[in-house]
Amino acid sequence: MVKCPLCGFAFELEHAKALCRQCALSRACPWVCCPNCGYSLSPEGGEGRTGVSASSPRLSGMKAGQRAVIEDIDPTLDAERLKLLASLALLPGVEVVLVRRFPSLLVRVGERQVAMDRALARGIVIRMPPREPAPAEPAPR
Amino acid sequence: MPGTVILAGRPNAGKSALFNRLSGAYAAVSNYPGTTVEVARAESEGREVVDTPGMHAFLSHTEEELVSRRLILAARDAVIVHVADARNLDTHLPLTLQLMESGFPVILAANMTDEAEAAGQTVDAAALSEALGIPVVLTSCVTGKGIGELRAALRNPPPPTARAPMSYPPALESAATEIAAVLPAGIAMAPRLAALLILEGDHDLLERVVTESPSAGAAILKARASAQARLPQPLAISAAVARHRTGAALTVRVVRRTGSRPTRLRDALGDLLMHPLWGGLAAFAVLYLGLYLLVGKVGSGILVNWLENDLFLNRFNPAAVRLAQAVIPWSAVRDLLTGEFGVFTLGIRYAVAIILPLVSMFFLVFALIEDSGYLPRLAMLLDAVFKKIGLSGRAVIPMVLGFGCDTMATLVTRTLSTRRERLIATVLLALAIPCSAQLGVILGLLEGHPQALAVWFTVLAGSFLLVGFLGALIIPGEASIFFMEVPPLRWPLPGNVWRKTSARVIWYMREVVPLFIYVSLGAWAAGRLGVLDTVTTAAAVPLGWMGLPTASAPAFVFGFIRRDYGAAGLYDLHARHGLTVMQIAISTVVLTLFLPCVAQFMMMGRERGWKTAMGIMAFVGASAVGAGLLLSRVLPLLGGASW
Repeated sequence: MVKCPLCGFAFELEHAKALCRQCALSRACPWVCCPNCGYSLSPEGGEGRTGVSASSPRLSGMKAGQRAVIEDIDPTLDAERLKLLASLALLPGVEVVLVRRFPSLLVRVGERQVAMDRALARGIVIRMPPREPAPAEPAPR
Repeated sequence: MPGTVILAGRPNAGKSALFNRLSGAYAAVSNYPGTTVEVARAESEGREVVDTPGMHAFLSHTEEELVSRRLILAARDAVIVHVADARNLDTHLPLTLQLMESGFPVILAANMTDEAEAAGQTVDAAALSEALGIPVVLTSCVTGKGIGELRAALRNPPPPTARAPMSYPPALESAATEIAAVLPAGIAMAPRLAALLILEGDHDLLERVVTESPSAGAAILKARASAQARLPQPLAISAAVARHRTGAALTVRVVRRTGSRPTRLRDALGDLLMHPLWGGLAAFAVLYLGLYLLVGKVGSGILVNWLENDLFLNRFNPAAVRLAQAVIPWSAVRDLLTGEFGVFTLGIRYAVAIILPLVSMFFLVFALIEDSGYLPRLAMLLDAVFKKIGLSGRAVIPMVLGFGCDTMATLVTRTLSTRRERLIATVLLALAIPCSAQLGVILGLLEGHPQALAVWFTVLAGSFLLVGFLGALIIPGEASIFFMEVPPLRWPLPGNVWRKTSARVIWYMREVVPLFIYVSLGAWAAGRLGVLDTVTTAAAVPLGWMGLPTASAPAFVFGFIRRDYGAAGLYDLHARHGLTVMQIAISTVVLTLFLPCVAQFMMMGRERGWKTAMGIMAFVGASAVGAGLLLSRVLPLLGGASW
């Protein structure tokens, strides 16, 4: 039995491999996808692609006024949303401030402001900085 | 010398403003992403200049991004001017890097330098040019800075670049090289760019390659999988991160911050507009000031009243009738020009006295709203509500534009991400969003009758939400994604407001005057042949069921051809004969829901397919009649007869 590091689903490797054979990319693909959540993991039993897990903090869970650095993009996100985050330059290493949570999320990135819904924000894994932001920064608007 | 100049760049970077500056032509400029949804072409110094819809990256997400990408890839002999926002170079430079791999000469125009300087940022163009290896021009379309320099750069364009000064992670680089080597020749694209796009998940391109050369397909999949095995993140993210890091590093080197950004009143105001309470109140204020006061009171109450009653009905028309009687001996010709449906007495009068003032006021209000940057904020506020009807906040923009012109708005539905959203938005525009001319006339009719206004508003808002909600249940497809860059609030520029308003009014009148004349001609011919009586008598039957007078039949028959013509006819009918309040309520509801105009129908067919367009027409027609019948039964129970 293998346990998916993302959703915790336990499954037989052979079962997952059989499902993977239906995928057009399977011939050249070195990964096995979790039958429950689609997360890719190595068939050798190692960790998956990244250290992202279901419990990693997400942008959607930030409080208004909080500052964070994007740690990673959830690899289970669909291709369309991945493309979108890449094109909006919401990428690992970028610093964001959550300006507003309601009615939609509003994120400040440098001089830009980007509004997005919660579903998209859930795909963004963040890391809170260990210390308070420097006082020279203007207060979050 | 290369022929075409293509202006490309991310949304809301000022491509259209630069296009106007370069060519002297007019493409609409607003302060929200997605103003341009179609390619505009004009001439400058003997060369074609092309304005393109904004695109975030070469990997397209929405249909209008696809338009730009196709245009660039299909070009043969072109210079690309990448229009970037000087305030956010780090976000814009990644696209420069991608464009530099497309095999065209590229010039970077760092635009909006006026705003960048106001925010305490200056760009070192020489250093950036040296780092990138392409010409860099600092421009501002507000002050005109750099336009001459850009023209000079275009006269003497740089050689095409094959590679951007950056590298991707080794796993991506080696996969790209492998893929580029096996790509079939028919792909008509720089091989390295094509290889990178395939690695980033461009399915259309991959499919094209696989159909042309199945053996290449297998090699590509293998290269892609081995790259993925070596990288921790999805390839699309890894590639974007590499470009973004390069862009950010360059920005740090070439942008000097001369001072901290002063906090301004408009920043605070811009933020307030997104507050759930204050933003909501502001939306009502905009509605009240813009629609009710400017269009309703000034447009309909003062301007139309003066033009229609004082000028046309009391002076011009009687004079025209007398003149016709004096000079034209044939009664048929007299009728054609000055009769009941006369080209002058009806066609020109409707266009000039009723439609022109209303449309002008509307487009003025719109230009102000569009220029300020209010629309993205409204989109952010309404996303949650729009999600319930199968749309996202992005659909707020086409919906609001629909109040100006539904035809234009149907085209703008291209900016929505999914087919499902585009279909629902098209149906709602056809059904429940009255266009400016129609709305102006209808508001004029409803003025002073609060009960009728309440009925009209309730039914319209109700059908908008109900049809959207049901549509979301019935129409299959993935849930929509909401994302929108919110630009800073700006004071509208009087020059731009004036140009945009006048360009739209002229465009509208050009469309409407000939049509109104044709309708008058058609009505006259039908009247002569006796067909008109048959049609209006037939139309009078269902109208009678709704409790509407027979005299309203022509308005509905002509409304079929042009909604605004029908609305103007109804206004005229009420002014001359008087309708009861209940009749006003029913007729305004039916006419608002009624079939879209011919232009909108053509646009629906073009954008959504003819079958879909026909289906929408049938649905909308049935809904309008159904709502009318229902109201004629329900309103008397609510005491409508004594209103």
